[in-house]
Amino acid sequence: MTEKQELTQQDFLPVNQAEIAQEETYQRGAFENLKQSFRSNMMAKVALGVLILLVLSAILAPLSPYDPDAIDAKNKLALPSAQHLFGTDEMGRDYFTRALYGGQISLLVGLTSMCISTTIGVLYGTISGYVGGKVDTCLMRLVDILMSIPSFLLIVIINTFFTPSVTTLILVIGMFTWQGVARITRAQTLSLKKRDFILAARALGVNHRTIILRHIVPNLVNQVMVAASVTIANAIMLESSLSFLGYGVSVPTASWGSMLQSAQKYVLDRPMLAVFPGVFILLTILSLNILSDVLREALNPKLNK
Amino acid sequence: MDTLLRVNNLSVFYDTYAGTVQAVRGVSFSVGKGEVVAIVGESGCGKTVTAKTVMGLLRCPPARIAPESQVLFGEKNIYQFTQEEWQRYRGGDCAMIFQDALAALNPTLTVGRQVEEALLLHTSLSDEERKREVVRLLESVGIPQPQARMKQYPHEFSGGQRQRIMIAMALACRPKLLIADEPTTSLDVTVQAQILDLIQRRRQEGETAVLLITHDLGIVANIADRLVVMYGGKVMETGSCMDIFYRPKHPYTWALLRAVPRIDRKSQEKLTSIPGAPPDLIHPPQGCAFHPRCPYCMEVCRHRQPDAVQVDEGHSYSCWLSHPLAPKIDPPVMEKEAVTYGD
Amino acid sequence: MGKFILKRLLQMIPVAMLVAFFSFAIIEIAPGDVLMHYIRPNMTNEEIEELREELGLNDGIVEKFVGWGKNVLQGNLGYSLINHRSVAAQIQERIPATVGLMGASLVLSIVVSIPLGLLSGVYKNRWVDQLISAISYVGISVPSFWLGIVLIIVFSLKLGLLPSMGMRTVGVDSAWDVIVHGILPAIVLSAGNTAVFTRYIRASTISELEEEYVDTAKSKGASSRRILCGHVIKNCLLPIITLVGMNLSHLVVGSFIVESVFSWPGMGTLGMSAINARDYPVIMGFTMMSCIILMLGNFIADILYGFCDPRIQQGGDRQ
Repeated sequence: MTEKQELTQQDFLPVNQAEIAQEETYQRGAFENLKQSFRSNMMAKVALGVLILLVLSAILAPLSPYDPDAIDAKNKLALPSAQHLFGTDEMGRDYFTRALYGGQISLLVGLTSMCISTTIGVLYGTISGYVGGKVDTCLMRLVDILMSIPSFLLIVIINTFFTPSVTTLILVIGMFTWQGVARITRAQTLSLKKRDFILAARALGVNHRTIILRHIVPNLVNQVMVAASVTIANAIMLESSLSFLGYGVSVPTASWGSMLQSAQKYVLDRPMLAVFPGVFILLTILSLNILSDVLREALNPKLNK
Repeated sequence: MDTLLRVNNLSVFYDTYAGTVQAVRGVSFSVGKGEVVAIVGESGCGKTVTAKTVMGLLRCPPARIAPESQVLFGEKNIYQFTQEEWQRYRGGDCAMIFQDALAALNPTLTVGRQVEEALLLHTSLSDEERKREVVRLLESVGIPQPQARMKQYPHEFSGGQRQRIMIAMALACRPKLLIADEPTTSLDVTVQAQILDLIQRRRQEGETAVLLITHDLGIVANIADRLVVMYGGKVMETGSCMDIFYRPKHPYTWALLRAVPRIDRKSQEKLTSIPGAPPDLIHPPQGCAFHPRCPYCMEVCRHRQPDAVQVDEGHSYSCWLSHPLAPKIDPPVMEKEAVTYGD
Repeated sequence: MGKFILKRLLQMIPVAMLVAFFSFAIIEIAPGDVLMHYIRPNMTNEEIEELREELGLNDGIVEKFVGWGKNVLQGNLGYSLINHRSVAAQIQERIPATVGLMGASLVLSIVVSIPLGLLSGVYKNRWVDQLISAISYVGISVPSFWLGIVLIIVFSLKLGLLPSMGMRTVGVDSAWDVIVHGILPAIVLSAGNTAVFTRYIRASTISELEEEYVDTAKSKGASSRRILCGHVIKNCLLPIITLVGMNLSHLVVGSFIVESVFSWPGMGTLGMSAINARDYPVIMGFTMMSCIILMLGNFIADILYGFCDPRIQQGGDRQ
């Protein structure tokens, strides 16, 4: 190397360490992580696109020229054509329009029951984790016990005591699917509780309600978001299973599950009737599952590779 | 002394989500037959990666070994080994002890079977002979009632015993080189001494060379012939035990030595920590790796990497203070007084 | 080990109690007077009162629960409101079909998911892994009833290869016939679990391969195949037992749906028709039986795990 020649006395002046600027440390927030994952993950982009398309088409369903419940006796079980994109069902109703309205119901049930179950789960979990001790043990034992009875069975049986409607369906699904969220938030709260900023807040005399709502719940957002995305997928699956078995939304309201139920009878003549709603359910749940995995990976730095 | 292992210009990178970590940057050293060489440095300085590279345990990807790197065992570069050569080398010629024996032992296999596996892979002993050898090995590392205990699982042993089992396993085939990666860090002091004693004894008996990876200068003094001081993925100073303890040249070595508590030190002398934190190896400092924490930092240190300078036979260091233009600095007083150390 | 089993048994008590309360509640809350089903037109008022007393309908809620509990423990689950047959007997004749279907699909799931999961985990991020992962994504997301309908359309209606309904061909009485009938239901029922297991085994293979004991084995000179077969497989398959236990409720619920798609004469169809007919004693029996199957399954899974994992043979809990 020729470098040695170029060195001058100047180079050997001592340096005051304090003058050396601190190098910028590398940090990236959860949101940046998320953006990064989306950029590098083709599947995530497609899933998000499909989901947005499904939601938009459900919202824009009223733009369709057909009434989803209008019976047209002359046009029963018509094949797909330019007029009726997916054909018509056994009562001559436009199947495409019904699928769009069905999407409204399925997505609505999924979203709202997720909100209910997440709210219950987060409150239950934070309270259990925050209070701790015997209360925590009892509350969590109760969750264990509730988890050992399949919620589907509970919901079916409870539905026999009510007339099924979209509202009862949302309430019942929301009320029996919160256990997973409760477990996750409890675990998270337990570890948060020991962190300094909570201890500091308590030392300052902040009351428990404020600590829970202002300091703990906001820190649960990441985990809860992941759990919630799984919960929506499960709720949509639950709703369509229930409707398929005839315990969900009742006629003439369409949901993807109930459309499948009636399509089952015409499987011999018009198998397409059974294919369309199923594909919609599959696409919705598939995209939700993919997105929840992307979320989980981006928001959980441990998994970063 | 014949050279057993020679590492030339080794560089290892890790491609991570956050960027490329330059874990090891141009490290060279050698281990002679039957010699104990210690690699010393803070956590995150690249010692463990170096050890794993020598054993061929790096997972590539995410790790990447620079193409110009050479790890010569005997005459051959281990990264040009064939499959069979690898299998003979690992466990046969070269064995490794890990820091956390609980993690390093398979939790669902009996201890006996795990020790036996090494014999199974490298010797042609019969079942009967193998069993007897396992008992002998366990006994030789001081496991009481080896007959009964070889049927137990790792979690049924104490931490010290697990590390003994690791040693028994590593020494089963009388390797020429034993790599010990922080073998005593997770153990308490008395057990530490026993384990070191065990390694020391085996080395004297069987001409096993040892590459000891540690952050603890205290244990090095008694056991190592030569030291390699690493920082930020680079070798700062290398020399015999005497050289490093009595005639250290590099400011980092000075700092390290001052951070070791010693009974024989005068009580008014303060134990000094090294200010600052080890460098971020995604964006390693330009110039000398140690310059951001070095009390003698000069302009040049911030921009150019110093070359290694030979002091004596086998003692060299990389620091700009060796340059004729650099101000003359007296090494801290403490090192001059340290004559009683290590005898 | 005995201590572990005992502890596990004790843990089942509250669950069993809850199931009992829940089942009892179904009967209690059920609308309509149970008495109506016992009254003959020519009965006098006194006779009706006597019957009411005899059936324990005038008792307090606690006494009723105790009486009901005694009956249940003796295997008397009451009588169907529709066909007046004993609920216990009806369940008994339906159980083999359901348990058989569940067993077959569980075996199918395990047999398929182990090689897929291991393959996917060992060749992480290679094309094999991506293919398997994509398939298992679909497997998790596909609604079982829809998969059932699609398979019926393809294999029964279009190709005519497999029967689409029931468990037996009328007039044919052979095991082979039952197996042929069971192929589609078992496949549909196993799809979700297979996908879940595959993903889990993939994840645990990846994490086990990163464990330090793999380095140890490698540093002993073990070949990759030996490391996989001798060290890793056992450790990544152990959690499957727990996983099976955890997913049993999917299996139970899934079997109801699949049974009703394929008209499989098991407990699911019995339960579903009872729910449609508001036949509360049968609903109660069906609920209780489902929960019992679930509890037993979980119990067996835990005990099996205890036997397989040396770490919990001391009676401690698994971390």
